Amino acid sequence: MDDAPETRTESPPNAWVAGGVLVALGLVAYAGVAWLLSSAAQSRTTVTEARPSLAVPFGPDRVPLETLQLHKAGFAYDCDECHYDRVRDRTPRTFVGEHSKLEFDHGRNDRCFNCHHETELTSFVTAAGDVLPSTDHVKLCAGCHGTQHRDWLGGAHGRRSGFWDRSVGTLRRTDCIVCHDPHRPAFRPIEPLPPPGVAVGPVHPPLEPHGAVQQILRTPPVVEPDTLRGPAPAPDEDAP
Amino acid sequence: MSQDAPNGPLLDPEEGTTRRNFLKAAAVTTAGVGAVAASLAPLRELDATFDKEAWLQKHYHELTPAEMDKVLARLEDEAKAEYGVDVTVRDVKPKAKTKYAYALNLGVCVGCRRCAYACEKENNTSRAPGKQYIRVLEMEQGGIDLETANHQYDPETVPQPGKFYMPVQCHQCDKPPCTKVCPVNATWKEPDGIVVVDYNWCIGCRYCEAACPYWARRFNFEKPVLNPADMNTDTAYLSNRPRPVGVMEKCTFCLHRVREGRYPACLEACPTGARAFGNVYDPKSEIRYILENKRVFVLKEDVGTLPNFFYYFDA
Ligand code: HEC
Ligand code: HEC
Ligand code: HEC
Ligand code: HEC
Repeated sequence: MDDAPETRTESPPNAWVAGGVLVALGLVAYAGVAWLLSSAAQSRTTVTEARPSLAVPFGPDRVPLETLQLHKAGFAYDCDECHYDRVRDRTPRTFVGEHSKLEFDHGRNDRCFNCHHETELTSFVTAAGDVLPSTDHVKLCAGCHGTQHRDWLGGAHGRRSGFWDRSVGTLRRTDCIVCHDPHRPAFRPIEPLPPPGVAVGPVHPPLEPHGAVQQILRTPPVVEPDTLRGPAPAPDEDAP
Repeated sequence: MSQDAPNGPLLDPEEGTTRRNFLKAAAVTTAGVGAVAASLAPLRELDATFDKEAWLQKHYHELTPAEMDKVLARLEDEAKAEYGVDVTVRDVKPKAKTKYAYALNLGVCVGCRRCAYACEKENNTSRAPGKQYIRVLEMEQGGIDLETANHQYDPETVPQPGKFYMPVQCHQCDKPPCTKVCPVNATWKEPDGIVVVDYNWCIGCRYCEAACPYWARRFNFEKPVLNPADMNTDTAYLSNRPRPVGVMEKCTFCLHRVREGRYPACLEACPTGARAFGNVYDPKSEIRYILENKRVFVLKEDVGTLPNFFYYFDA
């Protein structure tokens, strides 16, 4: 009988200590796993989220971030797989074999190596001939289209989303190549949504009296602002 | 009690009420009550959900915070009863030191109407055709001719060669003719420049619609047609909460979004990036960049409405 109270008074602290150690261990393990997962997630998501696609979805994601995202022509491989020993050919021409799906129409800017680096194919080139990492594609365009780039920074060119009030949240800015295919940059004509007076979908007899319009006149057309031309790019804080 | 009973008259004899007079009066009263009841019959038939609270609600400016909370809760209940959707109705107040302006690049707009449909969804406007706040006008290149502008264009693709497109919505004028003509003060200009309507105060006279030179106001002739599955449940009292029949409504620059720092829905929907929005008091805002660097103009400058919606041509 005397032991019982003792065990009662002593065992709780023991349990507390044990529980505390367990919790601490659990936290450490959790933090470790979370760190692993987050770093894995980061390297994983940057591949798909760093740069948005033109209207088409991304291709197989085994292309690492450092190389271009070869989605437009359906590539799923690294440039250097073929180009490591190919002699560079600067003549503008229509491609017959490889890259034949690539539509090219950038006006007078008709030389591949105006943009792609001659030796570092997975990178771009600056006007001075230096290597420009492929992630800096906005700088690539800016090199020749300074006016548009300035307006893009200022807010008069390109698309924005998120928060106009930067003290509340981040602003997202759409990159040039989301709207302009770098090889054929003219903004393509798109299909308009129906005019306001036209009912679409299941319509009920037009002359039904007032109040009978309980049911939906038409199924709304699908408007997906974010997916229309690829997702918005990563938040950009250094906006003016 | 013991006094009156033997005397006979039911009412005090000193007031001269005889049984005969009383019966006469009673008959008249009954007829009156009957007439009033009959005249009220349409009210009874109005709606099963007829609500005295809604009927007696005060003007937006006169509601105390506590009363406002009650009103908001009631509106949420009404929406639930009507559409079966859990809608939150908030009263989003203007930010200090903020005045909104909008700019639209006509050189870039392709007239795809994505803005108009994004607006429709965001603001729970009636899906009955023609209720959209944003009207996109197609015009011949070379000048702005509103007389020949067409808003019913429907080609395969836009832009069509030789045309340009001009979306028109509420310009949130600094001298709004619409608020001046309202006989009951149900529409007014907020401190941040947004012109709003108290849907519960509006009597539906449509004077404001006639006064607006930009065709920016819409009237709910019928109960708004909404698809419960497609409703925006984040709403505000002065903007996109479900509206009753017979009231005016209009673009509020997505008041419930912009007062919380977000962009209007139409801006985010634009695939060409033709739209820009911001606080004109902030010298670093996009809207200031455009006002300072582009040749902006306003629509129908000559009518003196001082709009806060600017257009410019630029690629
Ligand atoms: C499957 C092999 C293959 C891959 C992968 C490949 N290319 Fe090519 N590339 C070719 C061939 C073959 C030609 C020549 C085509 C022709 O002349 O019709 C060529 C031509 C070019 C040219 C024109 C200049 C020249 O030297 O002929 C450029 C620029 C180019 N490739 C860039 C790239 C880039 C950038 C990538 C990576 C995104 C890439 N290529 C990936 C096979 C490949
Ligand atoms: C205006 C600059 C510019 C020019 C000129 C240019 N490219 Fe590109 N190219 C890019 C950019 C930017 C990307 C990355 C696009 C992306 O990842 O979305 C790219 C991607 C590619 C790719 C990989 C993606 C794909 O679509 O297959 C190939 C291959 C390629 N370019 C080949 C060429 C060839 C060949 C030429 C010459 C005919 C050329 N490029 C000219 C800017 C340019
Ligand atoms: C080496 C310089 C150079 C670079 C880099 C460059 N461009 Fe261009 N771009 C031009 C020139 C030159 C024209 C004008 C073509 C003409 O009028 O013949 C042009 C035209 C355009 C046009 C107008 C096309 C049209 O048909 O109206 C767009 C859009 C465009 N570029 C976008 C881009 C984008 C996006 C990038 C980045 C991926 C880019 N450019 C990179 C030189 C360049
Ligand atoms: C939201 C989509 C979008 C983004 C992002 C965007 N543009 Fe554009 N850009 C357009 C549209 C739309 C036009 C007008 C096309 C037309 O007039 O038909 C245009 C036109 C252009 C033109 C042609 C100008 C002219 O005078 O004809 C150039 C050059 C250009 N953009 C470069 C860029 C550059 C560089 C960037 C990135 C800094 C960029 N754009 C980002 C949509 C975009």
